[in-house]
Amino acid sequence: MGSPDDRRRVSAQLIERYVTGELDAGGRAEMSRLAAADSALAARIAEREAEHRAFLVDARRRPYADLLREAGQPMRRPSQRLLWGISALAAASALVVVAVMVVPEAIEKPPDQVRLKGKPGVQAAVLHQGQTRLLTSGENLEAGDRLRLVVDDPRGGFVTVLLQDCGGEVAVVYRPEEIGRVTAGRIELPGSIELDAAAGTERLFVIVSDELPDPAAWQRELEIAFERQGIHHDWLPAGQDRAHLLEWSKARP
Amino acid sequence: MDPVGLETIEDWYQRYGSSVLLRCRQLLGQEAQAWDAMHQTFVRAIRYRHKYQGTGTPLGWLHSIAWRVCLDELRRRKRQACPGAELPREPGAVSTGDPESAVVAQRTVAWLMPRFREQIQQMVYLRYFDELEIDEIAQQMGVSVRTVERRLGHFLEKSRRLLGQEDSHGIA
Repeated sequence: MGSPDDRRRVSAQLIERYVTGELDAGGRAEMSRLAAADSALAARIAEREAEHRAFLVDARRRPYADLLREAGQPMRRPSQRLLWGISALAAASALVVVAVMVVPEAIEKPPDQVRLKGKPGVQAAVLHQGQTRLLTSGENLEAGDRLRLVVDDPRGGFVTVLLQDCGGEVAVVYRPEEIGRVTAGRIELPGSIELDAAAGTERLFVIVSDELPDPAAWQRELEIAFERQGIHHDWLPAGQDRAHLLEWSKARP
Repeated sequence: MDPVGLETIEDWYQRYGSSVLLRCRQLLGQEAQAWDAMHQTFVRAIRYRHKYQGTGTPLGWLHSIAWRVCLDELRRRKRQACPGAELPREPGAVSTGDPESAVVAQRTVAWLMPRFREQIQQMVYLRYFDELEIDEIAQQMGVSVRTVERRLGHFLEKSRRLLGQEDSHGIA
């Protein structure tokens, strides 16, 4: 990978490679150094990063499933789970987008939409067909809907977000080391979660920890809890970790 | 290299979609058409994913598809009038000065490009949209610096004639 050179203007191509995470570590470090010394370059990079983030929640962006259909590709199998870690935007705005396809099942209304342990508040904004609203108790979502999360915690710490589908599988949507330690107060998590494919009940666990946690252990615990009690199990993290649970039913569009 | 899977393309859609959209916007100028072209780029990427050899970056490969998608559209528009702008005074000048003029200049360049052969189009694209220096273009395309200079000079010279606005716009 090439690295920028002080003697010449930083090209648009290089900025795109930086913003999308294509530069190697040396190139990234060099770009960060140049941006720190050049406010115009920093503004240009910030603008492109903002455009990347806006793109992910833009209502004009067609769901990937549409593109697959147009390309004549078969739809993916139910219960397939996809997880992307996108380190492209910036070190401080690592982005993870998840598409979930779950085994179809009868839609059941969750008996308890939100439960809290400790006091982290979580708001989820739903982007549905170009309209944004807050996720409310008992709401049904649809494939293609997007969720953006705002976490409000009085102590701050490491934020981990886990998603459990109706088949019990657990994905780490946001890893604690990607966001880093957040300060007390409100933080809007970068990017969004895209819901995809079949119907079913899903649960999102937002956990704030004082120390850097191991999400893999929580994944295993959640899967065991599901095996014992089904999707409406009563798992919560042990110790000082504060948890917030969001639950929704997902229907086909 | 393993063949690129549908999940990888989906990853790229999230990761590079905005960058592809930007290029389509620069080339086509019109927002709705830029979105269509961006989507069409990924439809083609899905169809032809087996052709990605991994020799270049995914972003470069997607940009090359977007380039062809947009050129198809520009060729379709070829008979339409020029958007009524001026050329940049020199290659690489597009992004300097006020942003509005830069956009106008890029649209003019985009309007002109279908009138040139593919190698020149590619050089013009790298110069005016990717903002590469002459030596960087030469390196990427595997040609000499002199060749790039000559081809871009030809582009400007012929563009002046095509626009027929040498006096009014003071093209360098």
